[in-house]
Amino acid sequence: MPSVARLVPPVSARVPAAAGRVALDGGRVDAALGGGLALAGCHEIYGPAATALALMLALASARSGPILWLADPRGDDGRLYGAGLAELGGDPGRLWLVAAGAALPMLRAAAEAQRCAALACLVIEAGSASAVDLTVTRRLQLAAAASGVFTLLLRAGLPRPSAALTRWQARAAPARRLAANAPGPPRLALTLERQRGGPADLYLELEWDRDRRRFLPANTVAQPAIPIGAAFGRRAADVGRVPAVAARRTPRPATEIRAA
Amino acid sequence: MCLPWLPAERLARQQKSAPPEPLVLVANDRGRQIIRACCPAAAAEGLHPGLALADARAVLPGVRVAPHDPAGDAACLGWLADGATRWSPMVAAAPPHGLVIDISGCAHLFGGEASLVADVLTRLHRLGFTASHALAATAAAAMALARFGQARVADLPLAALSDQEPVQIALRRAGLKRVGEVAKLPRAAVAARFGEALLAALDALTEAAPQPLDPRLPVAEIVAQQRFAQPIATNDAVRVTLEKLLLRCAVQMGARGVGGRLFALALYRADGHVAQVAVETAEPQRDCAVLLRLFDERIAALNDPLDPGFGYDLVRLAVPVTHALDETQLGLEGGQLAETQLAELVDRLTARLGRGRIRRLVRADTHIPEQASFDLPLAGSAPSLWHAPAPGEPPARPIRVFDPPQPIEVLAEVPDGPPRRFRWRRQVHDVTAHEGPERIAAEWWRRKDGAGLTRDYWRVEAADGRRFWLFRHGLYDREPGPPRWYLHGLFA
Repeated sequence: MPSVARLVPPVSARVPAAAGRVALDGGRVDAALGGGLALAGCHEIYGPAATALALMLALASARSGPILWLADPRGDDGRLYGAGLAELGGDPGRLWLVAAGAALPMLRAAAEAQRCAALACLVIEAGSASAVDLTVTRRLQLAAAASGVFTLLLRAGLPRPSAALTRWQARAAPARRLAANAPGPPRLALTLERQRGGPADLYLELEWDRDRRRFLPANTVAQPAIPIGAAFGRRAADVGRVPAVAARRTPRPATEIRAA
Repeated sequence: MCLPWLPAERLARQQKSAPPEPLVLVANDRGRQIIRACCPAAAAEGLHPGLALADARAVLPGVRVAPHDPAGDAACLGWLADGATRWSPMVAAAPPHGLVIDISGCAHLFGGEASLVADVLTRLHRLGFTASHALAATAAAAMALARFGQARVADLPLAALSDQEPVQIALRRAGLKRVGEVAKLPRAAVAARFGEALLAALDALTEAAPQPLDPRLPVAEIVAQQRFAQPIATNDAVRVTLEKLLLRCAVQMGARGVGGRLFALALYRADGHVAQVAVETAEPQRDCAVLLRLFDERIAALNDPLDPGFGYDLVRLAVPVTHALDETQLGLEGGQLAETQLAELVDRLTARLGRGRIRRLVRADTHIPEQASFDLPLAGSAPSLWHAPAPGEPPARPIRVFDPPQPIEVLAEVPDGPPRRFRWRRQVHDVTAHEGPERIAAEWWRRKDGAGLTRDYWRVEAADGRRFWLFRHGLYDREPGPPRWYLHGLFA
């Protein structure tokens, strides 16, 4: 009988994701997911940072081919911005936007796209459409499992019954501070609300490593040297004049800084 | 073909009953009601187009009156012309009530000219239209012969040459009564006296300068069609037929080394209606299975589903647009396969959603952020090069932008300092971290007056962790008006 210690690896040891999966924190949550987020499946994402998480997951999956983004062009959340995607480490030319209109044509187009295994990722921005019910999500999940197309379903409103593999709540988390109190790389607070046949209700904070296109668990990212004055909103020019403070370059975990 | 009673017969067909009493169609002309068209029964009583309705009522008190609809008549004529493509690909509508069918080289398929004409007249009669016909070497001559019921061009009345009353009067005063008499005159004299237009009309009637026919549908080189003695009435049968036709077209295309870009399917219903379904592909294509699926998609996405009614008795597949397509060998590494799969996906989505619905992000050379990235249709746009961000830096541009930017209320410590608190969509956000300003000047070199406000962009983080892209539009004191704040984008 396997012991709990063998099932859950310690946080410090980062485990690479299993084949066909994308690593999140490389530890506790990945273990709970069975070695990372399964690529051959349909995952639901709620919350204000859903767009960011979907793009990051598509990039972290390291699959070649286009990212097909199905959306209703009448949404009021702004449009996807090419330069912003490039700043996340992706190639905006790989993003194919499909203005599918209402929910039903969008789902038909999604079914069509799910048969094409050459896609890196399929993102369906369904919003709060009531047409996306248990049957539809089951269909999406079965098609994703059959063809292996990484399917992400972005939803809004209250969670509805669904047959997707996992359900995530994605919000922005406070980023670590850079010099002069500038916000650092994007950081997301994720809650695994539901998982089919697995543990759920897990919380994790991830930081996006743009240069290597991967997630890092937020509590292990070293806080770079920040002059103490910067944290209180003083100008960078003032801080630079105090050599004694700037010399303290001991990396510290982010949690400590915040507690202080 | 000439359909002299088209307007009245169209109305009768719409009302699905033959009107027992005479019918006239009227239109307002400077406050008077003028007859524009009438039915044979009314014509027999002496009514004719151009008569005022009051005079007509005096002649025939019980006459039925309906409004005249020239647009409806033109649409009906177009519908008939579509149906006439069953006899020949070269069909043109000749408004107001003519149809021209070029049957050169087609007549033998229907057992000769006589039986072809009989078939045309029978089908038109079944639809409720009375038609007169004529066969001639040129379209104009055939139209005039059918319209005036003559056998020879020389016997045609002067009205065949010109619609204009003054010209007709001038010809009559010269003692001319028939087209043949005008044709015998010296050309230079005719041109000097009656104008070049008359000469052109005369040439169109005789074979001197035949006018080319402007066919209603593009004439395709590659066509396959199937006729049915017993009309097919189920969609499954249509699909099987389509598969056969695709195969025949594919064989023709393979022999020529081309692939089709546009495939037009025409389903001729026994009652004269023609349903048309077209499919476009991004790359030249002659793979039957792929094309059949595209047609399935297209037919499934039709707004008005195919209604076989009494059944289709002719199904035709034409490939009007072709491009060179060589046989390809499958790549060993599978790269070719993935590209083919993607091209097929694009075709299927295009068939389902319409053209230009799949778009890609393209970069523009401008500093104005909302204009720097836009989307273009995937077909016909090339991927652009994007600036790689500097390693180790946080993202400087948001994932989503608002276009136009959304106005917000901002509280700052000092007028041109960073924002401290702002209200967006009725929610107050406290700024906990910020970076900026990144100053983006207006494009003064593009505008004549050189005006435009400078923008100071700030990357801010709110207390709940959300990161926003704000800008102040204008500089204090140096630019006109008090600066306003906007929210332009959302970061992760």
